[in-house]
Amino acid sequence: MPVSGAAPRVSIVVPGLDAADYLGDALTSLAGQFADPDDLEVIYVDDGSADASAELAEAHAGILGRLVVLRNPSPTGVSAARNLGLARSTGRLLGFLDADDWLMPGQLSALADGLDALGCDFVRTDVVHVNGRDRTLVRAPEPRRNRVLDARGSILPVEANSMVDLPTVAAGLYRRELWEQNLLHFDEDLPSAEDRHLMWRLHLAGGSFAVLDSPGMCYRRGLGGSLTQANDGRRLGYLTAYDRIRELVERDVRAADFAPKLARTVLAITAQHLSRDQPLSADTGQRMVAGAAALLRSLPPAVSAHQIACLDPRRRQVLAAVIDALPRGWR
Amino acid sequence: MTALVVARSAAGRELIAAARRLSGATGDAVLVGYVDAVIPELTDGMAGPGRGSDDFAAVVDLNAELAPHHPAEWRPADNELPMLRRILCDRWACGTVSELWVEDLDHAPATTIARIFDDVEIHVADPGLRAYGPAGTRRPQQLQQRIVTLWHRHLVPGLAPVEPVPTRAVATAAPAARAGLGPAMVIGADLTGDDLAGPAGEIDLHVELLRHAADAAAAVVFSPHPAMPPARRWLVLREAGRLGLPVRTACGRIDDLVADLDPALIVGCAPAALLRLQTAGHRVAALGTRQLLAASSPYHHRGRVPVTIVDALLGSDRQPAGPQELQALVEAVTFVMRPDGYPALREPAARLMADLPASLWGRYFRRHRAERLGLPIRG
Repeated sequence: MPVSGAAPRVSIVVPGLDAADYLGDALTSLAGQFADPDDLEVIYVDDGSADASAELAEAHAGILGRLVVLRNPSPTGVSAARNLGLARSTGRLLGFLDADDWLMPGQLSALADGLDALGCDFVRTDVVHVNGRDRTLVRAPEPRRNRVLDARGSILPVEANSMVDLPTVAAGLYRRELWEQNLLHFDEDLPSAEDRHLMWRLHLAGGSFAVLDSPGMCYRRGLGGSLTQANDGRRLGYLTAYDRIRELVERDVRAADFAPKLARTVLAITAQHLSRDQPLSADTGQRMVAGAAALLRSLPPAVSAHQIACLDPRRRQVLAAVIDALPRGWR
Repeated sequence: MTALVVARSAAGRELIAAARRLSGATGDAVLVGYVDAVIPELTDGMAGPGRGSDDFAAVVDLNAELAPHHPAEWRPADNELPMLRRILCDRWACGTVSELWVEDLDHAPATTIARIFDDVEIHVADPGLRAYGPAGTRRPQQLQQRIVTLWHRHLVPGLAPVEPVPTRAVATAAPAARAGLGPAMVIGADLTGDDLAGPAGEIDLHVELLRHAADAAAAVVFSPHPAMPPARRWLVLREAGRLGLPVRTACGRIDDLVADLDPALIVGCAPAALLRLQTAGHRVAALGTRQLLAASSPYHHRGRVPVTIVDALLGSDRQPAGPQELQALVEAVTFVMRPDGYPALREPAARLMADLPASLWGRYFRRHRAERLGLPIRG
């Protein structure tokens, strides 16, 4: 769609694959986010949908001042779709929204105003988990709000959730310069948890950021097709992502401080997968145990051993196979 | 002395305002309005609560008060209620609350507000067909004992509500039928919000309504339910377009549209409006009621009685039920829905279920449930 005039204030990239049931909610929620519709550019990247998603997106041109619809003939994956959208974006500030999620009114202007007023590199905010009419406010794990912080200062603590454990990229807004510095690219090789990898990269890079209060970014849960419900090899994807994160952490001057966080997170996510109601297939389970053990083995032995010693009895039991697969020094 | 009015729909606000006039109420009323759509933020309904505020001294937007949470999930702990009462009295400037008017006493937020104001008399005013059926849940004594009156609209001549509380009907107006020279009109439903269908099923049934309407007139006007997400509306219209149906959309109050359009036929799933408009002389048709009866699960689903009534009066492939037959049917369905709450209805239910032709029995009752309750099974 031809757009003339100055660059928009914000670009939001919306990737979608067979999303016709919900995409309209996402796009409708983007309309009216700014008093001036020209402030917002929406880039919908249709990732090879077989349904009417792309056509549905185009039908929103009337309510979205600047709408770009890109079509991949066949699915390329959410990371590649987001990267494609970012490459075509022109906004000063960049953000994301998944096709099945939506924003409360006033969300983007609150984030953009906050980011501009504070002058930091990016802002992040809370997430509202939605299942039907049931909603849970998931607070961003950083109590210091509405002020500029060092992005590296919010990676720890080890023992509790921190900003790198909140992977929702849609609950934030990012300066275009981050994309130009290669910090907003999603790793297209990762089958899942690409957002976790991105958050670690972003926070390790050491820019400035702020956690803002905002009306709300709504994350729809309980959809059959989503990864959180998937029960197949895709559930192993986090191991690949955390292996890439390990590579980043190893090169960091504070590797010794951050490695325990990595070990703890891998143990926690693995325990979650292994204790889920729908059990993994035997094969996937074995691969998960082997993958988690391999990841821990690639960390310093003392780091792995200490985190395993810190496990509560229930988790220790769930993770028994992983622990057994580790050499003596690592457990 | 203030009345607190907890309402979610325009029809509810109007019924409560009319009922308060009829009951001779004099004090101020504070309207606590809320939008109950699954995603209230995406409906036009946010503008809703304030409408018609001539009847109310002040208007509270409860969705905004509870954001980011949904009013239907507001269930504070008992410990917090005394404090909430003090805070809300102050914040909503309602002083001494003397009466409570609610549209739906069986779900939050009305239940919650009734728990907070735990010594105030309650008027229930349900503008829909659910008013004729059982309470939606087993009500705590604490709420049940405080009900003064169940107000309902006079939607079905000859039918009386089954709830064992004093009831009063408020006359309803509907635009009189004229020649019926206009387009056919389709009244949309919020089937996903009512847990009667998923998104795909909701789209299919709406397309079916439009198709049926197009058979009756040269043009069709579609009035979507306010809670239908915009994208779903678009998908319905797209499918209608593919089928070559001459459909255009019109939003607004049903009665205004009917008065404006002089429709040849009015089609819907199971809206109460169909019965009102039929009484006023309009040609109406209900579609998909059997399907919705089958989808009303569990059996005590909140939509069951409304769909049962519309099906009995307008359903395809059956004779419209007479007044006595309808009363007996609603009472029997009520007993099967909530056997604990309405033990006195067991005998009449058993009589009706023994007499009903097998084809109708299977439409309104389920074998397992009847078996468990020791009621007659037919067919």
